[in-house]
Amino acid sequence: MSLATLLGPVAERLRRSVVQVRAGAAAGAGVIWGAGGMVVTNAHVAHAARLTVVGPDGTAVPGAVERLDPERDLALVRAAIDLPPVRTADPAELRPGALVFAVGHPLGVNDAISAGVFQAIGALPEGLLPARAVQRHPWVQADLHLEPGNSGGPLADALGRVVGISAMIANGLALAVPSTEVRAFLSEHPPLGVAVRPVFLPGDGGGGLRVDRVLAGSPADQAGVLPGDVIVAAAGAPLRSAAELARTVALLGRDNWLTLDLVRDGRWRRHQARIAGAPA
Amino acid sequence: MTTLPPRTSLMALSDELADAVAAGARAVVSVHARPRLPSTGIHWRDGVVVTTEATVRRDSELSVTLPDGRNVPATLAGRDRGTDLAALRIPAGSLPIAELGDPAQLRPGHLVLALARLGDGGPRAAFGTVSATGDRWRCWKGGEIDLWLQSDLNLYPGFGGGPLVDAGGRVHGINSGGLSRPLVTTIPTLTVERVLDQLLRRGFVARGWLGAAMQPVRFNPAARDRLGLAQPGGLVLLSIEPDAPAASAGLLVGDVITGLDGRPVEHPDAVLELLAGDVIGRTIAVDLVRGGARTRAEIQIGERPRGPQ
Repeated sequence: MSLATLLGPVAERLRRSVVQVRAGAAAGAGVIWGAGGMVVTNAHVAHAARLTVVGPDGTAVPGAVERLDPERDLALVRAAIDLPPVRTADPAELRPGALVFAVGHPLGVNDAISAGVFQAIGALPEGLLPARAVQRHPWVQADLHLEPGNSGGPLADALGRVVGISAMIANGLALAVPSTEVRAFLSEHPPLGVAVRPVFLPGDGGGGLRVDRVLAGSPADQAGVLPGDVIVAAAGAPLRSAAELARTVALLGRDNWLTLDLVRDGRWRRHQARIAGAPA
Repeated sequence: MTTLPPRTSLMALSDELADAVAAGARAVVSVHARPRLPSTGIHWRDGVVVTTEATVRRDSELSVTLPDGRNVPATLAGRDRGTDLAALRIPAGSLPIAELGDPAQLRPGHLVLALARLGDGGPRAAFGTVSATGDRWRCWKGGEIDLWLQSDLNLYPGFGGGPLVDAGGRVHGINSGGLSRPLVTTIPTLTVERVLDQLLRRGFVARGWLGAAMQPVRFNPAARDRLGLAQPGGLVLLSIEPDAPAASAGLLVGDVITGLDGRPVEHPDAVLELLAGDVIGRTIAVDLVRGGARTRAEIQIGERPRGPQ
């Protein structure tokens, strides 16, 4: 039996749980992760405030970003779409050479399949990628052909169980966010819901994190944080990086309040953000 | 009797491939012979690791990481730029030797894997098929490869020097990223064996040398008839290196070689083929056309100088 004959039915089943995630003119893929229209995709796919989620039958519904983690390159999108959730497996159990396949929309071609083999899980070998920040992530690495448009789609094992979310290509190597990272992302506290970058305040005001974007409905949004604010401290501690902010949020207990010191229009302000528990 | 559902069969194929990787990878090591990313090597004979020459960027301070994660020192036994092969010696008995297959049996469409080991991690694999097979060929680096073995494998950084294995994990040759770019070809086991014998004996592959640059030319038909030559052309000498065998034989720039060792030559490949054999030190006849007349000289074949490595 040929690979194509064997792969067909497994891929067909997974395709029912793969959506298209459109942000303006750009489109990536998404995976139905749970009931209630829970769509997991890459943060770099869900980069617009308004998203459209398109099911395999062409049904298009609006989607809203509920959680965003640019460092892990993951996003949770909520959409009123009723599709079967995927089954998942731990990529750490794959052996090198095991078959994996991806479903996505490479260069706009809908629900295309590409097949290959699993190589490794973990940080990339030194020298394979110039960007050290990307190198350290625990990637699922596979010998598989991906194109733009595969981003956010599933990488699955020979049983059709999702082991990762296809995220990028490095030297031709397909990189996916491990399903275990997706689970951690979904079970952790929601991030504050801001996209920030480090800035220096005028005069001797020190440094802080300038808010470029606030996710609708996020803890930051509910706390009244606005784009343009500069966060100078969280929980009383000064902030130098987005990672420090994420850590401060992650270390909070469930249903806790986070004190944020902001500078807006040259004035200091204090806001309280309520960090809720994990989504259902 | 029940038939297995299709997805169990796909799992079976997946398991088979993973088994092939595990079997082949027992003799696959990581070679530390260049800055940054290591390359891959194969434990070909006990205590001998073979890799691609281009990935061995230094002659000393070499080491090899074994499948069990141990790092052992290695010494360079020899290298041959022409076929892109290098041999390293490691302590004997360090790991199993590769189980070799017969690459002549591979046909287009056969499933194959490229294996690699990058440092102390597990083996890595790329998956594909044999694209084309063919006869002996000469690569641009000058070496003769006994079999054209082309695959659609993606050779990732660090995969150079690693084996091409079949679905049973048997090694059919060494993948080289540099012999036929952008096509991926494999140096077949036969070529590896042939070159390895020489590398282990003297550290390099000796090749005959004339010390002259030449290019094919066609004779004007009238001149050819007058000279009584059967062949349409020969090889015109463009330059002769000082003190080279061609200079000692009295050959001159502008001479047209029509025969070597009694056989007609029209193409440089014929010369390279002659020089690749066991010919160093032999004196052979050179048939020439010089100044519109046929003449004959004798040349003692030298050994090609080995440039800076």
